[in-house]
Amino acid sequence: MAMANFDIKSVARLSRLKLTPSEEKMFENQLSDILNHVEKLNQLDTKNTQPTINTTGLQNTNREDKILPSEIESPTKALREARNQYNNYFKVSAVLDKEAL
Amino acid sequence: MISDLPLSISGLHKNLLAHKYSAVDLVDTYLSRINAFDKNINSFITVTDDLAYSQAKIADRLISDLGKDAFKEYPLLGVVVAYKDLFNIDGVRTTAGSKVLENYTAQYSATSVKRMQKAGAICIGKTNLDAWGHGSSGENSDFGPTKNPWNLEYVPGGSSSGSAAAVAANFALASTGTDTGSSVRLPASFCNLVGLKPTYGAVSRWGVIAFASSLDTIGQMTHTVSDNEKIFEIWKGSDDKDVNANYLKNAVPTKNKFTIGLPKEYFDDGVCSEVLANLEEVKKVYQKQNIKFKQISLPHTEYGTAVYYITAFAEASSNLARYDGVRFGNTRASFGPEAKRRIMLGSYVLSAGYRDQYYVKAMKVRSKIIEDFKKAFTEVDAILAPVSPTPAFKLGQKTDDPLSMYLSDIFTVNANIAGVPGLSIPSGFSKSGLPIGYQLMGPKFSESTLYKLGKIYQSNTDYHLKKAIL
Repeated sequence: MAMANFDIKSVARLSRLKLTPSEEKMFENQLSDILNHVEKLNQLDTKNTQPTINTTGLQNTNREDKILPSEIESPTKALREARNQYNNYFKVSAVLDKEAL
Repeated sequence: MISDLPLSISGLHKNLLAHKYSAVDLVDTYLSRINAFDKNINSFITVTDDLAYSQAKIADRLISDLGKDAFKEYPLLGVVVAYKDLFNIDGVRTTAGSKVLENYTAQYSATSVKRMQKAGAICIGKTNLDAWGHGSSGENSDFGPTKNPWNLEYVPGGSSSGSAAAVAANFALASTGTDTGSSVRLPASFCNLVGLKPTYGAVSRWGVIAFASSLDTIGQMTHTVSDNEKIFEIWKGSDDKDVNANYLKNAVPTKNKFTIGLPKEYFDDGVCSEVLANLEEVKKVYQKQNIKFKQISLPHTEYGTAVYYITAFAEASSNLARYDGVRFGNTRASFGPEAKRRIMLGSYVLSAGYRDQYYVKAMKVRSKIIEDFKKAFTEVDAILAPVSPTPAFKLGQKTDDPLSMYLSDIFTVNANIAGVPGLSIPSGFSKSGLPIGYQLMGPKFSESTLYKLGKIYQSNTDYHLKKAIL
């Protein structure tokens, strides 16, 4: 059974979510219910069926390679909603440590 | 104050032209109703008084300058619209019903919003919803549940809960929604409104906050089929910013003789007897107009919810990955429980070792469901089906059991999976006075056929003219 490998802690980590112990318990039960429901798809033989990712059948849609005017008129407006900014840039926490460099 | 608010655009335009009232009077009346009643219904997250008055003044000036030509140039002139709070409107708070965006002010407007404004529509506010469009009852909003104006103990349906309640309560003449699995059609049927889920790709979604990109469509709710079509006419068509939007070259021409299919899988014991009896009455109305019916089968219907939830959650986990609190909004700690469920399940079905077992399997069954519809539409022009197995359910009835909530969408998800249009139309009331609606589905880009069939029904019935008493 797939459920044996369902580890709520690792799924939360993959999802970048922090859960409390009581949330872990609740979600583990609820997600197991849902996964059991979708198991019914295994009743169907799909060996010779192609998957559908997009119903339009569109392949690559290209446009002319030129810069279009931005919908957001200015850097100030683009930065307006950011909590932290510096010198007209979004400011984020460091993702690389000095040792690694 | 206006005592008889319009229920149709044509009625509105007649009265505006005759100076029976002005667009500013309309906004006054809607705002005073919102102030008086919305504390009980909770259909709005943000009311945009200033924007509404400024657009109403422009509408009044155009009518006095151009007379009846104003309505030719601006087909939605003076139409007061409530937008689901997933539609970005430049300078207006846009929350997606989530605490993550509770203080976010949109930095641009969606294509659909711009097209509405260009057609003369007035924005009255942003409506409540299940956060991110995740839900079937409106109860997953971080801003509190919306109540059904027909009975405040019942849900209005979701996820476009506030949009349905606002029009049913006469706080606006029309509203916008999004439909990824049911979210326009279900609330429309629970609130006695017409709701369209267009063909996938018929209407640009650019600027509307995404839930599940291979299923998402944007639609509208109105009292009449003809108003619904007027908005669709403004919305449809290509947009360089949404490459899937390609309506014009694909539209299916409409006919004069119709055969409607009755899929046996949609008329089983899972549907309550009142809804089945109602569908029987709908069928009689059409038969009187010489429309033929034919039994058909969509054999993979029962697998729809499983395909839907794998696909929708996988795509939601990817779309919601952008909310990191860096460029806008709060951090991921602000996600509510339903978003967390969907992000985690989506991440799981896409993760190494499980992708083939769940996601790819669902994509393959999706192909089988598409084949069912293709085959059916070689035999019939449209399909008649229930929107929901029951009328609106009580607030709180399904909140502890997410799976039972997901199964409310059993008759609507397949249209999204196949990318075909679905139109929900009011068709009467249950014994306890709750609205019931029926659904017509058609081949891709056959909206004009669905609208024609809807207009035939509404010209022979008057359920859509009944108003909720607040």
